[in-house]
Amino acid sequence: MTAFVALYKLFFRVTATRGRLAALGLLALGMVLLALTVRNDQQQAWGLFSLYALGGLVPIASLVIASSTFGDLVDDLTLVHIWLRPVSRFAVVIGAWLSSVSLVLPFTVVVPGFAMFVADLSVGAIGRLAFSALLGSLAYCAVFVALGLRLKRALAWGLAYILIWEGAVANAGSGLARLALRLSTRSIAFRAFPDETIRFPLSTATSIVVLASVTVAGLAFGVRWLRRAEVA
Amino acid sequence: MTTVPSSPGPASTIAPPAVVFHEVSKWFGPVVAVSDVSFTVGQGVTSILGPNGAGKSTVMRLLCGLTKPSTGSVRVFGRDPRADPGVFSELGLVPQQETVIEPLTVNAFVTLTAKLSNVARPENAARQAILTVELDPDDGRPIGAYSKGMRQRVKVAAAIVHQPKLIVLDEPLNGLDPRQRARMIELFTELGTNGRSVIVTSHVLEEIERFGSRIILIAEGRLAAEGEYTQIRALMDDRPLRVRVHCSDARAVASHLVRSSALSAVSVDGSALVVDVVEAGTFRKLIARTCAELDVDLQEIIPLDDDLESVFRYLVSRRH
Repeated sequence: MTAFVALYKLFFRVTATRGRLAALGLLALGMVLLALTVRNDQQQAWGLFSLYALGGLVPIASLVIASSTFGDLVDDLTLVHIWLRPVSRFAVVIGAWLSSVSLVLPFTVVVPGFAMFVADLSVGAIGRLAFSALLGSLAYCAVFVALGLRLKRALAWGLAYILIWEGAVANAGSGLARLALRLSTRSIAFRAFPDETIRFPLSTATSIVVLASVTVAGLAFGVRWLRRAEVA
Repeated sequence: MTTVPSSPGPASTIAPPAVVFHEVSKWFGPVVAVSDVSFTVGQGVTSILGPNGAGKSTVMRLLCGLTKPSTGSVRVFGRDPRADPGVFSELGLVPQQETVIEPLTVNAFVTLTAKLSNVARPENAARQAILTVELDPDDGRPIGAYSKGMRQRVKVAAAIVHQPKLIVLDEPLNGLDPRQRARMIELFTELGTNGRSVIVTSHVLEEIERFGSRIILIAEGRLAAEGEYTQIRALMDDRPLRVRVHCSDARAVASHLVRSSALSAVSVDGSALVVDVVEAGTFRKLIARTCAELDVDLQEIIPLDDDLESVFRYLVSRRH
């Protein structure tokens, strides 16, 4: 347990650079400011949450933090100091994932939740929105933690994934859209709004299963790739 | 391969080998970094010697499980370091690259490694290890502000904090000043005499000489020779070498030397002789005696191929 806590703290400290936190803080602040302009308009509040939080903050904050937990260590050749310790690879990956999740959640759940409070949404609606953002953050973090181990310039690859796959494909409405994480998070979130014009093809249960499966798969690949890593 | 018979000490005959390399090869795409290397390492200090690019660091990475062998097997205390992280409780590595986790202080970094190695009192163990390498455990500066030599010592502290049975040091003396080099050599030798296995790599023969250790010679990714230091040194000294001799009458000396069996060829190059020496010891005595007899002023003898690379090339060529 001591080793696990030490790993968690290390990942947290190495990843939480002032530059990253400031950039994500500004991005999150932008949502609160925009929320002031959509007060008492549920349609616009939904648009803001769907686009800004689920389409932007959640994947981007997860990418910036999670891809650098291992990515930074791979880039500066310090992964060897962790790899050469008698700690199970599963514990290392879980430690990296938990540290990135705890860094990301204030930006992806707390601030968007506060923004929706500013936009005068009910507590129940805010809870559902926060739940969708939470599940999305867990899944994205798992995927990007693993990608940080596998790919050089994971940040660039992740950004391409968010823009091309999550952005363009998920909005295309085709069958492929079901494979985008954003569709699952939006499918959970939209039920916070009574607007009958908003429809998504996935049920809440299916969305939860999809997001949980992606989280588990991301962590499993992370463990596999760490075990097989060629460490410099 | 040249195997020099050695007389293992009592410990090495009793204890099973710490490291077993069995027909290990490693290639990166078309580049063969290590080719069919087999050796064992027991207790005490073992030096892996070879020129830059010979494959020493790849051998170290294979040994620590940082990379997978393309063929063959590596075992550390009978376990596969690639598949069994538990083996790292018995292994400490000082990697060649000087990178450490820079935002941390030396105490935080070494304590972290102690915790990750499940040391019982990590803070105490870290302080002890830091003091052993003559750094200050209370230094509040981040390691990023340290000099190269200080970082090197931080890595050594992190490698020994959990008191592993096997300590692997990849070019550990790089960046250290002479006093620190002497201290580290003393420390590594001490660790090796306390029942541990210590493996040190270097491309500097004189460094290895000071360890007085068993040597594994790697050249061009192959095992060129292994044995005790003195025997390897003799093997190197006995090889043919080419020297340039500067003296006051090169032609006279050449005409006397040409009949000797200690050399295979001699030529005059301006005011100097270029001699292909077969027996270095005999030649040294012969040239001194000849110059004295002829009353010729012997000014300088310059080895033309005495760099380590040429020594290794020679030893590798003996394998064929």
